[in-house]
Amino acid sequence: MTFDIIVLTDEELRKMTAVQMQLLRTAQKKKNELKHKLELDMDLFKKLLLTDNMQDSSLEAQKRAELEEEYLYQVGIIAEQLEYALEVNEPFPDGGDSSEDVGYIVDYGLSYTDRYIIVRNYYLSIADPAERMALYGKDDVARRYLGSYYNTLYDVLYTYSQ
Amino acid sequence: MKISPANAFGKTVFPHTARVSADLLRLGDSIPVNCKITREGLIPTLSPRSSGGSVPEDIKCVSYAVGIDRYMAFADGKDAVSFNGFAYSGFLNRSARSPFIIERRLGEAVQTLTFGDGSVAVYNKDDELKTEPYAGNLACGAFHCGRLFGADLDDGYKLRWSGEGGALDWEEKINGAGWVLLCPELGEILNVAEFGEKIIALRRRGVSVITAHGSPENFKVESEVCSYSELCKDTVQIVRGRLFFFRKSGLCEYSDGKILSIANGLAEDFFSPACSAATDEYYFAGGNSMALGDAVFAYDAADDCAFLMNASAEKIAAGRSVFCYADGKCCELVPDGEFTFSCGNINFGSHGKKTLKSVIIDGGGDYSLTVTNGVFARSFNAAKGKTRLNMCGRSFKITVSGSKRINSFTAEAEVADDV
Repeated sequence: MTFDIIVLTDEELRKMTAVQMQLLRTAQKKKNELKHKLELDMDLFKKLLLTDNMQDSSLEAQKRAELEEEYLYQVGIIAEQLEYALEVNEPFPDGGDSSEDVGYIVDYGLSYTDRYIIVRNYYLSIADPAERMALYGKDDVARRYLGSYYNTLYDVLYTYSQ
Repeated sequence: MKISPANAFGKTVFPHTARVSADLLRLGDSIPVNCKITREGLIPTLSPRSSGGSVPEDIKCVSYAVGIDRYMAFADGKDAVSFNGFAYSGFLNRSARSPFIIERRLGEAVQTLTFGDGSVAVYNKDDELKTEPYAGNLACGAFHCGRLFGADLDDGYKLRWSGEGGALDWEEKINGAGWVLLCPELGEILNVAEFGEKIIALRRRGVSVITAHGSPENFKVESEVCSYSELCKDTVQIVRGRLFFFRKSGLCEYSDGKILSIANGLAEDFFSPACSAATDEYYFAGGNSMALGDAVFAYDAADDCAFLMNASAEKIAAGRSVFCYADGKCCELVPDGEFTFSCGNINFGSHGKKTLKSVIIDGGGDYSLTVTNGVFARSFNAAKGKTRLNMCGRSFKITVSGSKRINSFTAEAEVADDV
């Protein structure tokens, strides 16, 4: 897969964790789907122009400009969400224990109910259900942090993903 | 001394003749001037009357603006306005390679727009005038569904449309302004008209019909109708829901996807139409006549009959009254004038010699009557009823003038059998 959703060097790509790669792949997949849909819409529009005898008109270029404007807007949102998610999941450069740096508050002084709510809200903010379940499955911090509530939350997130 | 043939009994035998009557109003090749021929007879219509006033020399376009009750023109490089149609005052020097005038309604307000090069003059009912920038670059135009459609001034095959904002909105985008190139086979666009729910582009060799509702994505070049004869520019008008225009072969009408020639007795006589106008009743075109020289052709769309008026017209404006403009002069077409009706050569169905016995006019006044057999002519100043002639000849041409309606106009001749 070619990654052009955001600008990344080969070095940065090699340093990515499994979670980060998953985020990157999901975002790139969405971008590719949007691009494919744009081309399908343009093909259909060209056929309609032929049917209406309007093939030699300004409409094709104007329609492409409209679709590309919307496409770039959607891609911008995906890229911005990806950059934020990658930043939250970036490992410490000195290789220290970064397992507590997971994007939600890790405070062992809170009750299990509060910890459950915090982690639940964090994962429900991830729009893509497959990505959500993949990340939660790899989250060892959550396993330690939630204890027996980990499986309960897993079932809840699974229900939301159906 | 000529001796008549004698029979066996010595008596003179005259050739057998028959009395033939002809309805002079129903002959082909007749030239009705200032009158029309209907089922009810000959009815006087309009005749030209010179108007004084101050009329510009070089009128590029003229139109009557219904909403503001003014005659608007672009002439001598200026916008001009007239209250009465024959006295114009000019203002606003502007350049305009192909000016045209359109009315638009903005809510309750009505404005007249005169389009020039890069600017449009907006004139409203309070006699206020202002100019606004205009990026449309059109040679002619018509409003339809809130947009201005027209032919591109620099590319005669390109039909442009304005944006949703109306005549002054030319920003190109998918729901805004745009254009379409029409097929080159029919030639460049001469005029654009709104006809019913369609836009009609009259082209050099045919007609393109465009459906243009809602957003431009729904626009469609619905059909293209070819014409065997070239169309004439600036002759398209709509009268009584019918779209008329001239082509070199004569007057025609666009109806139900076809170009139909309108049969009329003046098709061989009238040519080179260069301008047109319309009232609720008549279609007018200014051009030339073989019989009259400069002439205005008129077609009554209700009675389906055509007639001429002996007036010169480079431009015509039809409003409260109809005005014809040419060479800095103006004439108004008014009712109750004098007409002339010349029937075509009549030979009563025989090539031989015959005797025109009489002409019968059934009308309400006195008429001037002229009859010629090609050798000599006889004229009568106050002819009415039966006028006896006894004129010999092979064919005759009969002309009547007057101002009152004629119910019937017939001639009787004695025709010898062609044996």
